[in-house]
Amino acid sequence: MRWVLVACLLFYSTVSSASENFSRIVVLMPHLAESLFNFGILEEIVGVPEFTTVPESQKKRIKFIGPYHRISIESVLALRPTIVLASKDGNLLSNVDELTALGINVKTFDPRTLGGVVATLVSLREIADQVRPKLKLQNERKLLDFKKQLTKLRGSLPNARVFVQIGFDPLVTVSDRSFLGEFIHHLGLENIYAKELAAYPRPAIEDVVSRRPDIILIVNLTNSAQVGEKNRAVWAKFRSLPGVSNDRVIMLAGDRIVKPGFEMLQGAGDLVTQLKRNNGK
Amino acid sequence: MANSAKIIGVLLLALLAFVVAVLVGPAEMTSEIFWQLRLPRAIGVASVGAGLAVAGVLVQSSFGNPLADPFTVGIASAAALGAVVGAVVFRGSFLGFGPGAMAFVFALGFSFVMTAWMRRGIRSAADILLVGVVCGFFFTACATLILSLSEPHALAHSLSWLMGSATYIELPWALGVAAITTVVTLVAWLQWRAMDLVTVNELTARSMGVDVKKLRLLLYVCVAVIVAISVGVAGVIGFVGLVVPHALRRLGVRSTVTLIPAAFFSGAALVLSADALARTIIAPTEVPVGVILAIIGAPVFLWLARRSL
Repeated sequence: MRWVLVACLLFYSTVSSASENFSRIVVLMPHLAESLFNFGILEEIVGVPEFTTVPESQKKRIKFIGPYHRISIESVLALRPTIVLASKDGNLLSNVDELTALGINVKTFDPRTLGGVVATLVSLREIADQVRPKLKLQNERKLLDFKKQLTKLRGSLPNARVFVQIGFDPLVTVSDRSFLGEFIHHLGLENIYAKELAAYPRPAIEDVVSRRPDIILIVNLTNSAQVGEKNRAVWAKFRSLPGVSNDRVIMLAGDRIVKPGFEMLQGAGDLVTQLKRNNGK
Repeated sequence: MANSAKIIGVLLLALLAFVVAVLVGPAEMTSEIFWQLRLPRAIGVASVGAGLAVAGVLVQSSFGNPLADPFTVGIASAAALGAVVGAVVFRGSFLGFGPGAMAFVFALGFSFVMTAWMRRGIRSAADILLVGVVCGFFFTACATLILSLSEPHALAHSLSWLMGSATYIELPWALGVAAITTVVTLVAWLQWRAMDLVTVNELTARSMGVDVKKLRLLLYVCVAVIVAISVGVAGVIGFVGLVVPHALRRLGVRSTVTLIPAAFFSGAALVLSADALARTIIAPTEVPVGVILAIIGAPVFLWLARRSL
């Protein structure tokens, strides 16, 4: 009896997935859209949030629907989407509820853990498989590569106590409750704020100093070199910190490592390269 | 004698708050934490609190309006817009200057325009306040517009600034702010007699030989310098300029000669205490100092007001 139920459920999920119409996709989170672009889905995407990296060939066609934390529902509706893809990490639940109440088919992903990131990519690949069956093999390989690289990265960095800074003023870090915190742990580093209750804690700078991190990893989301240098100068004042005295204040420009998708591997690559460079000094 | 005792009382309170602010924190004190973080921050925060409280006295006395504060005259809103432009438009750095420097430039720029206007056109206190309020709304709207178009991390940076952020004050800057605030306070304090007369009645003040327009202009410049430097260093810290002068008056400090020094030390004590709480109340997380000031200060002020009714 149980097997019949499972079979029915599997059949239902296949049918419901197959019956979804992906001819006009609106994506509410930049990293979801970028992952779809990576899987070769271009023409079907009609709307993305601001600050999404859109392929050059699609720039004129794809419409922006506002920033991901404040989506313009009206803009989404105007695009007459057949499906909307949202994320539980970043999009407002009220936006998702509003769209659902308006009869829009909304598919939600949860990339708040490393497992969630992989599951999200698997689901996006499934969408890509339906839209572009020709790319099925290629995308399968891409995903397999991603998983392989992720496995390869496990414990690839020497065990050291790291402070991950993703915001300067206010000072913002990550705990194990965020995918980035988990990713840092996966790489072999020990996050000094791993056990905090909040996913993105805001510690006082003197608390960071008192925890004496061996590495200070600054994710410079502004992409401004001047801000980066200013940031580095703040830490340089604390010469007794192992991270400062050993020249292990690492700056990652851009947001690659904080994007739960293919780009996070490139971010990790940047981190490994920089750490090796600093070790060689 | 009674007034001197009150001033000595608030001076001691400010000193106590300073010692507490330096000793208390989320981490154990080391020489690095003392020299690089707590001492500069305590000096900076004390100067900002002192300056804003004095600015409140000056604005209320010179415009004869008990509801006036540095925000009412539009300078603080101009500074806030500057900080938002610095954080969002210039992505945190313009020619090496951060949002704090931009806040300073905007506040001073607006003050120059206003002083020029005060010398030529608008004269009455009500008009100056009205222009300040209208400009304040305009600046706030511009800042909100920019914020609504900003990236999430720039939004967080700007909001942190708008709620008061004293994390990265450096010792030379803190000492500079302390020196400028003290000098400007002294310049304003020397006008105490004229300010007292204007507070009683503008016509009487004129008949006693006070050049009201000149006095108002001088005090406006003093307020502008204090607010610009305060916002530049520690973000937008509201509440102090409005509440400290009122609380002191309700405690019986009425004459400007006493009110200015009393506000100087009380403002320092209030912001130092709020900052110490902000750093420790939910450590290791730091709460914006402006939030603590309003949450704790408002009930205390209401209690004071109820007592004196």
